[in-house]
Amino acid sequence: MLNMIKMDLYRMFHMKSFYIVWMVLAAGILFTTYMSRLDVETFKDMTQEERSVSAAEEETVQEGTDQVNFGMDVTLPTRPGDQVTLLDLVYANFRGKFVVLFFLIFAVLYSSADIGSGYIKNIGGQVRDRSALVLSRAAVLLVYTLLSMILYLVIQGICQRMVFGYFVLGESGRFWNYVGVQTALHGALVLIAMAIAVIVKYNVISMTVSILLTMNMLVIFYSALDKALAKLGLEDFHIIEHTVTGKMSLLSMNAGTKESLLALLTAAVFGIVAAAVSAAVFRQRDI
Amino acid sequence: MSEILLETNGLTKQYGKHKAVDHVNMHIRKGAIYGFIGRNGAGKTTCLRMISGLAKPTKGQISLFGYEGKRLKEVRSRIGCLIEAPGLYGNMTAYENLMIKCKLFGITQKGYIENILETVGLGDVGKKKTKHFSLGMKQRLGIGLALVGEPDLLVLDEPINGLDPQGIAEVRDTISFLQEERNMTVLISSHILEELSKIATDYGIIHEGTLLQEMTREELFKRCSERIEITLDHPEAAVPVLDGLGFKDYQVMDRSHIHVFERLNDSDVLNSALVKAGIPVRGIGVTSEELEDYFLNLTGGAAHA
Repeated sequence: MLNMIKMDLYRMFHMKSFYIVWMVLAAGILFTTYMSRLDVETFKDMTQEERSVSAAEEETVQEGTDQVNFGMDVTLPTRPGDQVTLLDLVYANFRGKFVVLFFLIFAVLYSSADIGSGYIKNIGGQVRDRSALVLSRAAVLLVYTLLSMILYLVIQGICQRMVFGYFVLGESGRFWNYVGVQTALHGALVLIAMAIAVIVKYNVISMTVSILLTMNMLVIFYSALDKALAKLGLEDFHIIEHTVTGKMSLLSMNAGTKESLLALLTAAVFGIVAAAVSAAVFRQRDI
Repeated sequence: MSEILLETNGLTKQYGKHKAVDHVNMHIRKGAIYGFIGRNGAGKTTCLRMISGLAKPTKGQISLFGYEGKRLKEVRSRIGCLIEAPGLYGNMTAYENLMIKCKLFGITQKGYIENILETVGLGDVGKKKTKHFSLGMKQRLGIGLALVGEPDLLVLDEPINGLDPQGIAEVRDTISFLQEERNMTVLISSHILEELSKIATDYGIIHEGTLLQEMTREELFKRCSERIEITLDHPEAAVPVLDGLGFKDYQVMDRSHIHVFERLNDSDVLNSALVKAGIPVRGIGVTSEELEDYFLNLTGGAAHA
């Protein structure tokens, strides 16, 4: 297993897409940071009445609300007049699933690369347990998530300094708690993307499904399911609150121990199930 | 008889109602180059995929190095394979492609990859990305990948497919080198018998999923060589007559043919003796076959293989 992980790490670091996705992520972060500054400036120039209207319009994306809408947006939770902290920027990007979008693109490319190129045929028959090949890439994708998260934080900090002219972290405890829990959720979603790529096999379909996941495509399905459950007597039950994408959107910046632990538990359950299912499918299926 | 390294028993692969491989009983001797011949779609690749562990048989057993069933996975790493087109990362060099597999096997030996590249004639490719390789170079790198981990059995599926004569000769030389220098057992499939006949020591002919014949190189050449071919309804009745006339080098081929490989000028004597013994002879004459014709006749016609 250790050799497999070494092999997959080598493969990851030698993939062109590994670096390209990071570069596009960096450009994307610079763009969202710049757009956020424009938002802040526009908001600053508004009259009190205009601010109230704008705040009402954007209520669904402000911190503390529990609604998740279809699509993707990056909106700062910063109150007018306050300094934009790194935590605000990170929160906006995580909540909008902008960062995880890039993680998922790489996860799909990486997970399907050996299947698409046929390289898997060189090794698939020679390992004792084929499912270990999937578990190994799952481990490597978690390493990738961690590395990319560190890189993202560095880039975001640099962009904040460049665009806003200052660097303010925000409250340290809240920052690291929020980033830690979101890292686990990002890792879980990456494993889900890997499972989709392994099971579906077709790159385009896997990529489309993964991107739609970040766009909260399933909210329509969840909403229908919630209504059906409500009819069965399970009122006030919202499936999205128990999913990885839902937790990513709904996790508050001031998450307490219970909320953080529940999010970590959700990440662990979904991550383990995704890895286990894809490993089982890969073991059974002909290459 | 040499030690049997690979044996299949009733190996079957079914997709829906279609049996791609139907009860194949294959025997490969240690140190042999086993030419697996069949037309396109005959079931060669499916068979090789099952042997290589890439596909699960619907029915049947594979015995490899004496291991079978669940214990088979213990010896899977002793097979190196190149199935269908070589699977390579186009954006990586030959060295990097080999390094990936070396990592899997935990091989850290210095010069190991360079040695493999030399063996398959790619010692001078440098940092060229494999997407810029010719088909022949890709095939040879595919063989190189199969060699990582020093396998005892090399499974090559149509490695000369699509190659020019130069490429075919290079792949052929590589395979011969591996068998002679490293005593490697090679299972190689092709639909071109003529090419396989230059290196293979044993043959298996598959048609529509069924293994029609297995024979050694000597047996194949004998079957194709000049001989008296007798066509009759009950070959077994002719055996005492042949023995009585002192013929020793003959073979009952099937239910209506006997091939006699000696005293080719005595066909008239033989005919008279059979008629005298009351055995109706439908045809007798001296004949020979090209290898390709032999294969085509066996697989039911002259359609291009």
